[in-house]
Amino acid sequence: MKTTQITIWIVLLLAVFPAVLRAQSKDRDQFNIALGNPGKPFKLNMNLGGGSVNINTHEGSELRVTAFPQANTNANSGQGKNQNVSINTNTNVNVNVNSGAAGGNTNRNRLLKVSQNGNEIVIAQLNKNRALNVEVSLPENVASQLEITCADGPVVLKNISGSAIVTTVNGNVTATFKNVDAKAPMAFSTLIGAIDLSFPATVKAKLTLKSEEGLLLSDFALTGAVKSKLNRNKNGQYQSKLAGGLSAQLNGGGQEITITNMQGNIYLRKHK
Amino acid sequence: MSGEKEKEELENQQIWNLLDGIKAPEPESNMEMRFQGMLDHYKQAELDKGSYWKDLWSSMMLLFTVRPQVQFAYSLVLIALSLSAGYLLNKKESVKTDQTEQLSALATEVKEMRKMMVVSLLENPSASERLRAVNYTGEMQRADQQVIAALLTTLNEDQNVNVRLVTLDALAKFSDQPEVRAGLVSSIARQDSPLLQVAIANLMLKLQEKGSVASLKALLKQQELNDAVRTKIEHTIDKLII
Amino acid sequence: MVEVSPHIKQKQKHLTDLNDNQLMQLVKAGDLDKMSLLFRRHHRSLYGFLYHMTHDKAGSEDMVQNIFYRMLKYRSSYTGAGAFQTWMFHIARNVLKDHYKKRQPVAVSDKMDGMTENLTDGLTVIDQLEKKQDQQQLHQAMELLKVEDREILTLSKFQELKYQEIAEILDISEGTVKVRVHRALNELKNIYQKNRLL
Repeated sequence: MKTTQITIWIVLLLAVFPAVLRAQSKDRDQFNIALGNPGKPFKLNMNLGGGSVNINTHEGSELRVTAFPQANTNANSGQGKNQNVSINTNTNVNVNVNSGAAGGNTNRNRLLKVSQNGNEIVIAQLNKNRALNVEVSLPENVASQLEITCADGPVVLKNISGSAIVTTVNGNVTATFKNVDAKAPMAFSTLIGAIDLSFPATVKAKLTLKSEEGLLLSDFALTGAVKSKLNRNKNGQYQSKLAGGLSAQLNGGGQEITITNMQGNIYLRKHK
Repeated sequence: MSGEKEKEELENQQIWNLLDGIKAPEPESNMEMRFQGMLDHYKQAELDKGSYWKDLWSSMMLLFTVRPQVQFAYSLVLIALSLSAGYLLNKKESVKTDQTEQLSALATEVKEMRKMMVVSLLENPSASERLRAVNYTGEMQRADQQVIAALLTTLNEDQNVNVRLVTLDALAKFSDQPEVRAGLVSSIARQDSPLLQVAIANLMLKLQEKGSVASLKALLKQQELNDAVRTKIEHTIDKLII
Repeated sequence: MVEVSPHIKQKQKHLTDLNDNQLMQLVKAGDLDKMSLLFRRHHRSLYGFLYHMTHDKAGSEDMVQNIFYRMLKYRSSYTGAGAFQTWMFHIARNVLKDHYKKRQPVAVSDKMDGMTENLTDGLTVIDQLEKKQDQQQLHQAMELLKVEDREILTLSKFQELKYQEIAEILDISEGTVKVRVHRALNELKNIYQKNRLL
């Protein structure tokens, strides 16, 4: 009877709190998020201050999140200064699962706050003035709709299936898509930094490109208004100087993708 | 005496009958959709109790949003409308003017549907849907009051930088409409994202909108202004003043 | 996700057979979707009431949404002791009160925005114009009425509620309702006639 009672308590507790199991650690926040419907499309919304964001995929079905403060961090609003980003150390994402204990969260080491509703997840920084390096591992081959907003720092998305809307201020935006949701609009923007996107060769999109100072380098043969400005460079890429806005069609056109930076190159690559 | 009373009664009766003529106008046809959107959010908020974002969701409830399924409804309507258009075109012995009237009525219907969809999608909690809504306005030749108001609100208040950026572009297309220009100029003071500050400065320059100089100068007074943005705005002001 | 608790699970006949009270009890027990049915049944009449009180089309639409939101939020306070309608109007009147507090004094409208009028009752053009004018003036006179008078006239004339039902909503006796309706109608007539003479 006792074990059943404990089981009931655990079930109740897990049902009542979001499925977030946190590890306790000195200076990092590390936890998993189980999807309400694993394997089904999900939305991830991240709202962060400065630092860096690294999103990739793994074979598991849950989301694995790690956040740790950037070296030399202090009340860093990241405004107006170019961020020197520290390299992410490769960490083994091994999470201590708190089972049986009453959802044991000591609030002190939390860097991120998480809200979850089924397959919709929202992650934000508790203290917006801290520069954090945030890493998220998503379940591979599951359709995702990503919305990433950073006040500062580079954003890297690897091996995504679905769509993304990304913005940062100083820092590069890099994204590789394994699969693209053909019906979802996308947007990528930064103030100072390169925007480097890789898509499957068959992707169809209507591109709006804006940069005041930079080059457009494309593996794809773009059509549309940009065509007259494109030259083929010695690497076989299509190249154009950017000084303002341009529209272009990828494989005849499709869902709208808006790419904006003030200073920096724009790369459009074919994802092998 | 009783004659007085009778007269009074008769007059009252007349007024009572006259009141029949004052009927309330029909409410908008999207009432049920708004309600459904609110209900969906409320249900989610209920499930979300205990988390940090409960208040956020509750306040979103009051935006009376519409589910993306409205797009499906929209395409159904479009299909229905184009089918009826096709039928009309195929009707023999129909008077030409009658046809064109009906077709233009249909065209207006489509425009209304699209407008309604844009305005309601702009309040969707998903940035992807809001982006979609703004992109739709690209298909409009002219934006009416409602759409302009909705776009300006989005420009000033949307939480997603990319949505605001795309909205700025969308509004730029309608910049020949004076209320759009005015809205853009007053939007300058409300932008705190460096990307938008740069984009709107560029747009003012492109439009040669000298009326924006005062607002741009005011922006320069902000201490937290990004260095790169500061340079850009000073540059823009210089070029506008010439 | 949330289940109807067993002690309320009645033999569920077809949804349209359930009365308002039964539907609201289901909502109270957790079946929030039933609120949609209540919305469908009542939002038009609620809107009409609000419109006649404020002559504000958009504001009335917003208030309808607000009222249903409140009915959801405060569903635990629904007892079912009185009629569902009474409770709904109770909340509506509170929302109206808030609306009045927020609203700046509005000039008396001289146009009836998009209102339907019974014009073509076999009347000549001149008669139609006169009737339209009459109704416009009556519309204005309504706005000049005290809130309580306008309310009781709206409830009886436009909502077509019986005196008994109005009594429950306003929490007064049926006799008082009759007297007040009569008084309000008199007031309206006086204002209306006074304005015509101007």
